[in-house]
Amino acid sequence: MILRIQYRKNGMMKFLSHLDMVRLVERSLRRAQMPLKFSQGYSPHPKIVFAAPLSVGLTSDYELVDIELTEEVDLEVFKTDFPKFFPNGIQIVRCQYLEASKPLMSLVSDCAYAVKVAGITPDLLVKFAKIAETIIDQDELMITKKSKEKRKPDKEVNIRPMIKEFAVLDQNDEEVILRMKLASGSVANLKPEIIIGKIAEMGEFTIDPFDVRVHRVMLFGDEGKTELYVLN
Amino acid sequence: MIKKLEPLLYRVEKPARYIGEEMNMAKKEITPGMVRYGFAFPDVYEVGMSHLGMHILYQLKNAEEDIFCERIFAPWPDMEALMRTNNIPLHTLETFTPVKELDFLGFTLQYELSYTNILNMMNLGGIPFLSKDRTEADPIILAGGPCAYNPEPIADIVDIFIIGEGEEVNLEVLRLYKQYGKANKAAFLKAATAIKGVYVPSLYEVTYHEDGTISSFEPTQADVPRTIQKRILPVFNEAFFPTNFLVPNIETVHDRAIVEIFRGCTRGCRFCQAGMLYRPIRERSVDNIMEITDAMMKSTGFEELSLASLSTLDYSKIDELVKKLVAKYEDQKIGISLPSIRLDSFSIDILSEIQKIRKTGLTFAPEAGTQRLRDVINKGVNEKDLTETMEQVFSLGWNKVKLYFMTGLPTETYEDLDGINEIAEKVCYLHKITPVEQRMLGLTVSVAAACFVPKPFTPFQWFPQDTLEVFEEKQRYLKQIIKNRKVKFNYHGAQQSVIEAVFARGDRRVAKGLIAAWESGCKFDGWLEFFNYEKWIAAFDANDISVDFYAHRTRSYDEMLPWDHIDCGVTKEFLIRENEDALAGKVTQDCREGCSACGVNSGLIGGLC
Repeated sequence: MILRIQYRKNGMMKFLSHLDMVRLVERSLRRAQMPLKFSQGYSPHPKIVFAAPLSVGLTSDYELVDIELTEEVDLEVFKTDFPKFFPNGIQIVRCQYLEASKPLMSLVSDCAYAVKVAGITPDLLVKFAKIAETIIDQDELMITKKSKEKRKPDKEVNIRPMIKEFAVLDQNDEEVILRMKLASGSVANLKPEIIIGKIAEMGEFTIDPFDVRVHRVMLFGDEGKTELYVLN
Repeated sequence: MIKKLEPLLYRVEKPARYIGEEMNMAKKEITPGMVRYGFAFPDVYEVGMSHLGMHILYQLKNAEEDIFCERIFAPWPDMEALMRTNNIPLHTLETFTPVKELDFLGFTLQYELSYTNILNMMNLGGIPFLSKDRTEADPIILAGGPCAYNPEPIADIVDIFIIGEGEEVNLEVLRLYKQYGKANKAAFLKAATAIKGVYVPSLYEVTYHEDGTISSFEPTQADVPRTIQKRILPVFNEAFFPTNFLVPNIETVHDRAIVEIFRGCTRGCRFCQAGMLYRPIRERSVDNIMEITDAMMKSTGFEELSLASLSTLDYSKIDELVKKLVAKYEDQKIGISLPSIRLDSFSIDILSEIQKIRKTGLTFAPEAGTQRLRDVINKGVNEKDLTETMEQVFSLGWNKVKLYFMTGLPTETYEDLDGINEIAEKVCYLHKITPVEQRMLGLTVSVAAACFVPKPFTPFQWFPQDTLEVFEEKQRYLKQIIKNRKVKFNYHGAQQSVIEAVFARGDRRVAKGLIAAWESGCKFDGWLEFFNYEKWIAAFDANDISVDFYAHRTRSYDEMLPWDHIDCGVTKEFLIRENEDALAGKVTQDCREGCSACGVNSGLIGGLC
């Protein structure tokens, strides 16, 4: 049986990498003495599947993980005790049992983000917001994708089809806040930083990627129509 | 502080090194009378967090209501640069308190090549290097750990050295401090010398002969002890052990639960400093270990448990212990790892038991290539042990074996180097003749050769280290003769070992070279990518410090050694006897088979070990 957990990742925990999170979740579940199911072989691992890796520095309200258990535990108790076993910055939102599920990561199609851009002058912020307002109306947004292999030439890619929603939520002298829904997962994947870079390029200025803050709001499957938590 | 720090963390490698918030981290309300202690490990987070001593002393101090012990690690150079440009002083992980505001800053001395990091950390904390330049506004600089047994190279820097095992003496020092407070530093330091195991170097004066050797070492005040005897935990079973082990959020070097099953070692290998320093042997009972383990695994959630000691398979009830642990943790898939493995058939039964859960790589340390040299260093391993062990290992399906050796051991010849290759070849041959249905294909034998560094309080403390040229010639030779493609040969940087040797047996005068090396940019010297030999030599040259004098000179038995005022329990007579026996190729029995009168049971503990 599968236990699906939705948790938040924020505070200093945002600086943990995906691999750190894999270790952290396993150890936290062991502390909670959950009846984990293990793989076979020389180096047995608990069967834990994450929906989508979150890069270092990103916060999230919507992290999903599926855990195979050998028996049911009381979910109310698990939710109440969660803060005892997980470090500060990882909070449970909800959890449920599923009889079975396709691998979580294969179900992901889209991801919604809130993005904060800062670290540039108020003038540039105004300019940035103006261009950002036009993104959703563009027919085509070409970026240059550097080839991973040295010999192959860089590729021109149109990222516009991967942008499902894009809007400026708020702006002031210090920052611009955007909301966007982007293709995510194994079929097509677009990171918010790429669009931020593209907007800066269109406005002929630069934005230090380290001044951009990205927050994952929700994951979707089913071509963006359904939130991931209810899919299996 | 955290507001200033947080934006920088986006810009550094592995930012989680700097955030704290690990499971079981100490959280305390800061009260006026509280003693604030900073446990400083002079290396990067992943190394420091792997160190058992830190975990013990951290939780031991934090179990006291009026002490708050926080951690400080050396920031990696990318972070250091950002801290310096943004005026962020070195601070603790628990509360981001600048180290300058603490009562104590205690460095653990695990390896000599971390000394420049101590300076760098003090500098990042805004603390003057020399104890004479510091005021009562600065924290008291404390240091302990194995390198504190020769405290002299950093005697001008440290206020208080703790000699020996820290569990009791640390708390005694902090309690005494509570009586004196921050404003009575001189009186506190003087009073602290009455605590056994405490060395306050500023209260001693050294003079030198014309040839550079020490002529006298005297206390400058009355009632300051002439010799400082090491501290041990007399009752080790049931002694404090941190079951609420910190669980790092990023992968560390030893990323697992650790339980120390015994302290000390009875083997008496003559090159091994730890084997002399941690005498006498003291074990925890199986029941005590099971109890600690149970609480620890529950509070940490680690998927692996390491049974730590200097020679784990020498634990008197290792068979019973391993069987019990495997039975208890098999279902939870908690792996058991043994950090040091002996070459004999007895070990193989235990290994087969352990591999029911997880299969690990195997590391053996023959240390020397021939029986003659193994007798010199008193490493009780013979050809038959090696052969039988390897036959069993391969027939049980292992195919990766690591072999550790040292070059530059006393009396070593090129025949001994040939012996290293012969052992590697033999291991390959033993794999080849293992029945096909039993063995796993794809054998790899990795041979690592470290450079011998003579250490204080070992029988080889008078011995000249090989020069850089000799080490490098030996390494070239080994590289050339090891031809089997299944054997991977690695060797340790000889330049680093030479600098290490200077500090291992240095006196107070080498501190100038240390500071000059730091000034020229030396730090993280244990890391090959940062180590810069030329800078070190230039720093030594500029301060008239001769590498030959400290590293490559034969010392006579009647020379006054820089660490002679430290009493580690083992007598000089014993060390001389052992050195003589080494040169005669005579082995000394294991303490468990009979007492060789090292002296630890007469002066330090009384009665039998």
